[in-house]
Amino acid sequence: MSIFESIRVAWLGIFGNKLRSALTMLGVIIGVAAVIALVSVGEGATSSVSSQIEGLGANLIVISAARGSGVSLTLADCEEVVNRVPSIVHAVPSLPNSATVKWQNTNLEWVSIEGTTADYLEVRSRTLAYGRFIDGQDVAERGKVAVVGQTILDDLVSTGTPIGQTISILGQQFTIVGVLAEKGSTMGQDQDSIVLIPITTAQRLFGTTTISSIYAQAQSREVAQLAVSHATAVLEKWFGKEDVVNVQSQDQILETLDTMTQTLSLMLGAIAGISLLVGGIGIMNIMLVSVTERTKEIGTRKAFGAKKWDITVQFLVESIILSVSGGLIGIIFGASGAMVISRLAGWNSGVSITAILVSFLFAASVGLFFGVYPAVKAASLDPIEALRYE
Amino acid sequence: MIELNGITKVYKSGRLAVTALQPATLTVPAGDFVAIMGPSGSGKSTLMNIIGCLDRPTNGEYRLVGEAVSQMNDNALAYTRNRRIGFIFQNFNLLKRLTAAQNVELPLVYRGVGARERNRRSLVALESVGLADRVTHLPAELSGGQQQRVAIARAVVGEPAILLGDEPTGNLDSKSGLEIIALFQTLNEAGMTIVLVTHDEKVAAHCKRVVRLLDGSIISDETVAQPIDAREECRAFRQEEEATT
Repeated sequence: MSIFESIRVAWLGIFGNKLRSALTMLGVIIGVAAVIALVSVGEGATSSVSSQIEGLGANLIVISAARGSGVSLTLADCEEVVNRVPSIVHAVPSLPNSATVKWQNTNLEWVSIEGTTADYLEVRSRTLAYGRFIDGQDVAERGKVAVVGQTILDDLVSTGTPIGQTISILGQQFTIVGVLAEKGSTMGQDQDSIVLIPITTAQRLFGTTTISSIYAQAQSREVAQLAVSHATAVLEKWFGKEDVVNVQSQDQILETLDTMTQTLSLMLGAIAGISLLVGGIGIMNIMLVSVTERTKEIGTRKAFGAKKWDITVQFLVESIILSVSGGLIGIIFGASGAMVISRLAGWNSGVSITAILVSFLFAASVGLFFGVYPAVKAASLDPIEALRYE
Repeated sequence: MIELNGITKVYKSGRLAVTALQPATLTVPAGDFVAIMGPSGSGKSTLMNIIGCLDRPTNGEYRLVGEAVSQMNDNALAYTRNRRIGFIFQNFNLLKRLTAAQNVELPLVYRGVGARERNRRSLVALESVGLADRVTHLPAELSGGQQQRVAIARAVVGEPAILLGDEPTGNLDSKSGLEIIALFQTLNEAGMTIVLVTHDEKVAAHCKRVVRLLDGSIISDETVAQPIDAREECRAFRQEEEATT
């Protein structure tokens, strides 16, 4: 009997029991869809977070005080890093906070206010749309000037040219001198909903003499790692003790994140894989029932010349058709699910092709693997016994 | 056509050995029409399974159309069943999801005949049993007599050497049964060798020869002097019906 005949016969078996076949397939459909959706979402999240971290700035190094070390960073530490570490070209202090910003009679609550210095644009890979940025003089004189993001303009300063307008932060009047070019969101944070003010002004405004972190820029990606160890050594010497600061290059942050998300993706994939395995067992179960139900049919086929091989192939093809069509439908569901999620989350990542291929091949081999036993069982039935079966 | 020489069959279940068939010798020439009779447990089913190549004898030699069946492996037996034998069962054993024509095609499917040729031959076979108008019907849509005629079409479609019937009229009313026997007689006249297993004396009276078994042994082998013609009986039956209506 040709393979085409076997497929035709298997197809009749599947269509003879539409509901049962559909339910059997459902196990594989859910398994494949889950693998594709979860792995795609995991990969999408990873690539989205990675690209966002890369977008924070070029060759960025982040320095912060180690938790529990009792040390606070100050502007002097920032100076020290720039002066003593040759591979670091710029370092800007950062003092983020949030406050209500007022313009005329309009209030905007929970606005990110960040104290910084002149090199901010360079280090954080931002540009100005128009106006000027905070300069050295503003920092030295604790100038009451502000550079704002586009969202602030949209939500607060709605009319007239923004430059020269006065906004009020915690009761202090600030003059807008510049507007940042738009950047969009990073990890769910709107990078354009920000008000930048001189670091010294910020320290006075928020009543502190420290800063929360230092953003430094290494000369190149290659020396970033060198800059990290150099900066660590310099600061440890400066503070006179070890383990007081965390210094991390962008690559390190990415690596940490990658390990985390990869573990997560693997876990999600494994959970989904288990459901695929359960789907396979479902196929085997239904095939065994089908073999018992069709004992007489098997006997009749054998009486009219079906060889063991013909019967094996008939049942094997049936279970493979179930698992493969389940796999195909699962791909459609999984891929559309992954696309919907990535669109909702605003990622420009697609569906994981690897996940599609792997889960489909896995589903097909599950059908083959779990189909072999029932098929062999059917083929080895004694024709006399099978014909007598009622 | 069929040559059985000292065939025995012993079933072993654990330590117990049950002899189902004592050394049996039987020859059925081409064109014969034999009824194998005997009460249940007499070994007639075992004999039929061996003749039908569904089972191998424990001892002895079986030749079918000159081929030594007793030495064959499973695949060769399947091949022989496919080419040389047409089975007809008491319960018809039609595949319920297939149409009449698809059921008839079954032996040809396992012979590797192309779809178009299969279809052509199954239509010819169905026409020969008088079911040309039931080709696309499912078994459930046919009467018992019609189902058995589909089964006969399936048995003859591959032009086998022998037809093997296991109580072919056992599940039919007397009129349908008579029609089936009439069909066998027509096929036999056309040259088909037929072996029927039955315990119905009326069926045996239509055959050319009756072989009787008891406790696994052949106890008699007689030629029927004047086989009854079932076709004439059918005609009489019909006239009777017309007279009453």
